[in-house]
Amino acid sequence: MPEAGAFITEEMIQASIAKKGPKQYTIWVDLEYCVGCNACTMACKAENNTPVGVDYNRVIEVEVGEFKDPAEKPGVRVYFVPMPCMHCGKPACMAACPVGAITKRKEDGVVLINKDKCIGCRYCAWACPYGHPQFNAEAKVMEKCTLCVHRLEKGLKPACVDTCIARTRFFGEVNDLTKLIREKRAERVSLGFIGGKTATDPSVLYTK
Amino acid sequence: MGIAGKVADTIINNQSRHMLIEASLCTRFRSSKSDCALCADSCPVGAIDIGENGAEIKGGCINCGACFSVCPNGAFTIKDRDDKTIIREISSRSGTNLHGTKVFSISCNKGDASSDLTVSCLGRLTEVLLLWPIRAGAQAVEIAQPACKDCPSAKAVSHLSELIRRTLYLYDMLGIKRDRIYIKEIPRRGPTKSSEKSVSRREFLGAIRKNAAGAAAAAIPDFENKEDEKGEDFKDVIHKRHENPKRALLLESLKDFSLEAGTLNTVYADSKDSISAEVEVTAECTACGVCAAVCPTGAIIQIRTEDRFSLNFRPDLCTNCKVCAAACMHKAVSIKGSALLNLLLQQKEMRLFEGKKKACSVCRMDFIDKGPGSDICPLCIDRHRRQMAAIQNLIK
Repeated sequence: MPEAGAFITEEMIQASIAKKGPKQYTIWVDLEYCVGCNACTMACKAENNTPVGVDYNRVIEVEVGEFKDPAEKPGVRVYFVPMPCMHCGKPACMAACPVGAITKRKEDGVVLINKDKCIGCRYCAWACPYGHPQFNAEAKVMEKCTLCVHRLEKGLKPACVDTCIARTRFFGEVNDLTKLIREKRAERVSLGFIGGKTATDPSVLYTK
Repeated sequence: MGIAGKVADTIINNQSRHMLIEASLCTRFRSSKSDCALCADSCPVGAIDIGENGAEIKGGCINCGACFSVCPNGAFTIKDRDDKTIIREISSRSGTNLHGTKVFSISCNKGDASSDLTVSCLGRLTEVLLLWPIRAGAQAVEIAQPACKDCPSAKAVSHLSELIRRTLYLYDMLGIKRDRIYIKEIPRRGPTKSSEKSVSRREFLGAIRKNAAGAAAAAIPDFENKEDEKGEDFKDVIHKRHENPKRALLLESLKDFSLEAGTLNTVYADSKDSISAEVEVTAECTACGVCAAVCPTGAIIQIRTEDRFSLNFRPDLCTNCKVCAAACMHKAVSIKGSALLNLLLQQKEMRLFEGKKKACSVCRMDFIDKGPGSDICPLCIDRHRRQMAAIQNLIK
């Protein structure tokens, strides 16, 4: 098993070690700065070499508000919401898998599918509240975002984080990221988890 | 296999491993949804460990055979005195003094040593062994049970009454009267008595050596199995079927019996005490094929043709282990309250479910087409709905 390595600053690691309990590495996305360029989607596709129809990261566009009165300022805007795996604290996919192919790693909290065990039944996709796991029709197994574990082992950040042109994605231990959010975005602290802090305890952080 | 493997194999097979395990027949290996722990619960010395790879034997096995008796799927194999050997012993006795006159008594090492059949522990008996004395001509089968609750191996016989209830259903089917099997309580030859027995120096050291070999063998990893695991992925292993040896022997015996008995009685066994089950599949089925994949004995078979998906069922192979019902996420698979035991003798496939299938235009997986609808499977539709609901919740 790889050790949680030096892929973030030394102080951050020291701070994490000082904290009790298992670690959870995750991504913070600041929706305010996301321009919906899909560079993360492409970087992910290139890095993980996923087939057509399987994307570990998708950016979903949502329009909010209503344009009521032409005389007034239009109260509408578009959000671009990147959707990687939430690497939940209590993964619904793991609980649903009939053969125990899904595990959550203790050392970094990454939820992974063991492709040697997976029988491609898609129970994880049924169970996931974010509809994340996808079926690879060629290999007949389910696939999902791995938080680029192969890069983490080399001390690199996930491809989507490294490539982000708007620098709106951050990677690190969840407690460090929360601190970072307080420092960088003190004026806007509407810290949110997608879909709220639900029963599955998602780890990816969003701010808007 | 290298030299180390050969040495280990010799030690393991010749010295001390009394039981062999075929992992692919263990429900715990096949599905993490299975909560079966029958073998571990019945092992009197706690030598069975259940982990991700199913049941595994640690050191300390005393060769009582309870795990073999209790496992419905026949994952365990007894090495030195298996059921076939015991059946030969029973039928060899029948020639001499059994015919029509005698009660065939079965007891264990700590019970009546002069019984017709002495097994290592009464918890080792199987349905087949309780049928054969009758076949061999005995009037009745007497299980001479010493006071098992005082025995250090008491856990191993906890399923004896259940075993007898299961066997009684088979008796009913074959037209054998229920009172032809009974338990007789006899005094126990206590462990104090045997431990006080004076042993020679040679016997004493021999016993120590045997135990040491057992511990050593348990410590040596199973080289042969390791090689298998490396060569084959889990998903390939679970799609291969091993014959359930226990069931094969029972079916063989039942066939012979039924030929002799002529007509059989129709017997419905309560699913709690049945050696077989009747499985039902409702319209909730999504053609995922999990029930067929996790079934250890291959009793559920999935058939995919160009435009149809169907599930077939072989009641003679079903062991009522219920792993199919536990694994089905959509709760489409259920076990009926009672099972028609006569189906054991018809090696016929029954149709459990049939539906028209379509390939989803998004994910390309099969789904059951329920009437005129879209080309997108219910999962893809539901997935999109869930994703949007989560986002709406975030940005509201």
